[in-house]
Amino acid sequence: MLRYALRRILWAVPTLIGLSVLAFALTSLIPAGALGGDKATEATRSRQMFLGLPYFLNSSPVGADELAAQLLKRMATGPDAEAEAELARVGGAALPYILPRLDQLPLDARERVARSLTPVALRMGLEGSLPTGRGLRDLAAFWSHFWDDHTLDFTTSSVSRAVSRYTEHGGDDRFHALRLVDTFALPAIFEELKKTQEPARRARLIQLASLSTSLGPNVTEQDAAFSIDRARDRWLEWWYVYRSDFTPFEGSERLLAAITETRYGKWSARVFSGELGVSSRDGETIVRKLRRRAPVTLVSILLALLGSYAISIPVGLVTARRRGEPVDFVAAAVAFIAYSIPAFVHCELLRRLALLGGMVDSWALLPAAALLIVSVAPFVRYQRATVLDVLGQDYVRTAFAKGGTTARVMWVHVLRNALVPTIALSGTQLPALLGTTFVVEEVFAVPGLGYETLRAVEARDVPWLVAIVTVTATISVLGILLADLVAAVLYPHLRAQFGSHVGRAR
Amino acid sequence: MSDESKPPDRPSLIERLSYPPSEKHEADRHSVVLLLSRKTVARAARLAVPVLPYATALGVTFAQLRRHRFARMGALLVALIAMVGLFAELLAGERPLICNYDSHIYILPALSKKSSPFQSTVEYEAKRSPSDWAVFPLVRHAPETEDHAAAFLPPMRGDHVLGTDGQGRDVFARLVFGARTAFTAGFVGMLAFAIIGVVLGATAGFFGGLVDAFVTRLIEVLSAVPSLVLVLVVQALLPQASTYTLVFAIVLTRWTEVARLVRVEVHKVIGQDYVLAARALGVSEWRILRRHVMPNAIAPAIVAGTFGIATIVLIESSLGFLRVGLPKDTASWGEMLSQGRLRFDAWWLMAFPGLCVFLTVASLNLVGEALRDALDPRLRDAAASHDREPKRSS
Repeated sequence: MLRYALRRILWAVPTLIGLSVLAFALTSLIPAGALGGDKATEATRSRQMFLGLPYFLNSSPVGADELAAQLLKRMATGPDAEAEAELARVGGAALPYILPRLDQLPLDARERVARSLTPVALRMGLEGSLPTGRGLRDLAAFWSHFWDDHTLDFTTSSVSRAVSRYTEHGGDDRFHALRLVDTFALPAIFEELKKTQEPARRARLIQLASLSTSLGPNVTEQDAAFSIDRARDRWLEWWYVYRSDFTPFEGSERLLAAITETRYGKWSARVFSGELGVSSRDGETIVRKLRRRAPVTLVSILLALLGSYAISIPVGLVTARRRGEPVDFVAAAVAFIAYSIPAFVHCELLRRLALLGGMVDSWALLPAAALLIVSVAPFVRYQRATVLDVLGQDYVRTAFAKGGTTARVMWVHVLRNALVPTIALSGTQLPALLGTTFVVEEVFAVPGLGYETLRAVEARDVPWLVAIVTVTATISVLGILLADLVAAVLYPHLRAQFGSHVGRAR
Repeated sequence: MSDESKPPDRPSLIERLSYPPSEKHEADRHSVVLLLSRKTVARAARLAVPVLPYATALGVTFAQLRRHRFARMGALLVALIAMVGLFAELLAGERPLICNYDSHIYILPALSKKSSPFQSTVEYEAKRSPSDWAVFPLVRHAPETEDHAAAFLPPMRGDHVLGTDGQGRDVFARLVFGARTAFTAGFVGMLAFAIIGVVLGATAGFFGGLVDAFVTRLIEVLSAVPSLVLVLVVQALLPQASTYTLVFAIVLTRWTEVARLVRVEVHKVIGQDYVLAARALGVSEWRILRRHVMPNAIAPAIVAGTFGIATIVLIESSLGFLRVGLPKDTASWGEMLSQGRLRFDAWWLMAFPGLCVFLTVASLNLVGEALRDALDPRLRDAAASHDREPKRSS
């Protein structure tokens, strides 16, 4: 059994990878211009969706080192306001790649670089030591000296040690030391931010990040844990997007970046780490939302499935046994009609009946009931067909011939063997049911996945929409997996057939 | 028992209404009726290849279908609704079909705005001279003309036969044009996914190996995605969502069903003796695929295609109901139903579109089930044998 289970689970892995590619294809469906907003917000959004990166292979990934070199080259050739602003934004992380080369630049380029670095110096708390009132030349000299004095501060290991000490103990000295390396400390800060659990420590790290990037949201140590968590989510999301600006790709990292610094790489890193990003509607992380919404939906689906079995098994047995009699006819007709009425009509009728009958008390059960009506028909029809099939088998005839009572034969010989296809059916019905819940939840205003998705549609909340496709599809894959495993527990011969069984497309 | 009164080759109503136990009858392989063309059969006979002779595929199918009372009704109803959708302009519109105006005769100004000398009935009445005449469509309302003064009118009030919706748009006109929306999506989508499904399924089944593994994977991945969710998301993400992008999104997942069935069927047929015989005779692979394999493997695609139209109609109306992804003025049955939610007493906004969706889907399901019975004789034989055996033993 264990061997079968392992093989079956391994078999599902490529399917899940395929799903991630599919969901990824959805994200690339959206043209950047379609999101609305002015040019600046559009640029930000296209950056946030990595539209500038290649799809699957990045032959020249741009890390902090490469970015600094590019900016320097642009500034050396002539005045470039955009490059200057960019350099001021990147700040400390670029310094180790800019300052050593400063002397090799022509004088005017050197001055331009020095000028654009002034805001960085202010962020670092160096306003006291900046040369005041004199020309750009002194500013350039100042940065050369700065590098001579502080080369040792700009090393990854010392910075990460400083960050972890600061996280633990706080303190002004450590704060100022970290402030001095500016954005160079960001990789270490976010590493630490992902690890620490305590709100006060998180707040300290967020303050550092906020200071060196001059971005929000900022928090203080006294803030409520909830708002600190919220801010942390936003910052981690920011880091996911902008990490490459502040992290150099050196050596083996550079090779790895050829794969990770691509649209698919970014997307899959996020999905497989279980982080699905932040909703663009209200800034809440998708994972948090899912944790709140998914149980509602999954419980109602589970109830509907259990109800379907409870109804379809007896009905299937009876109608198959009494084939052609009025019971059979009525059951078939009811199932057919239930099957052909669209889900939203069911729901709406049920809602009206409940309103008329004053059954508002049982409001919570109605969605499950509506889902049950939709899902039960295929189960009943399928169960009847498989029971009919089993009734024709020789062993059933033998059982009857040996004098078994109808009840015993039906229970022992027929039902056991007629259950396999019906169990498998719950797996294949899962995608349809997940779709149906969307309608049900909208009608009854159930705060589940469907309800949230429709609100996301109104707000064009791309991260949620893409996530919901991934999540529902993953749930279906896992549901089919579970159905297979249950069937294999009940029916050992299925395990032996695994090879041929999966060889057939399901 | 009514065994004697019922010919064994004619399934009972319940049989037609029930699902088949899938893939249970592999042992019955040789009872598969081979749907080969007469020419092929004749050639096979000449070469003494063992083939069960049978008439052409379509002839058999239709002969079977005609005997199904419910399927006949269903097919008629589907054809009727499709016709309503096709000739929607003749049934509802503001501009006349033919008119004499200003001593010119205009033919079918209803079809295009430009060729019409006036844009609405009101305008015509205002401008007409006594000698002018016009033939109007059955109902003189266009599906998208709003009239907020006449919102939520019940049926038979004024000249709105079936009432109006929340924006005062005529329900009858919207039902008629809703049929067009639903059936355009249904038929275009069905054609698309049937073609994709047959091609990919047949390729996978015929060539096997890596191609098969790839297609199987693709089927597994895509069939795990809930169609409604995918369509919803694609329609929400695309900047210009239309009925055709909707169809595209549906086809994206729906072809898998056809491909899966065709693949299994092709796989089975390839193992048959007559394919081996054809190979032995040196017939080329392409010809085997075309003449021997496909005619037999196409049956499940036809059945799945019929059910597929029903699914697409359902998805289209569900999206309309959720008010996602269809352009604002598109007449959709589901959208009308969602308007019925706004007013509790507006039963006509629930009943008529609800009935339209139900009748369409039910008819298509009936036809699909009858087709499946007609094209898959194994099920019928198996069912007929069940009829007697347990009875005899008890």
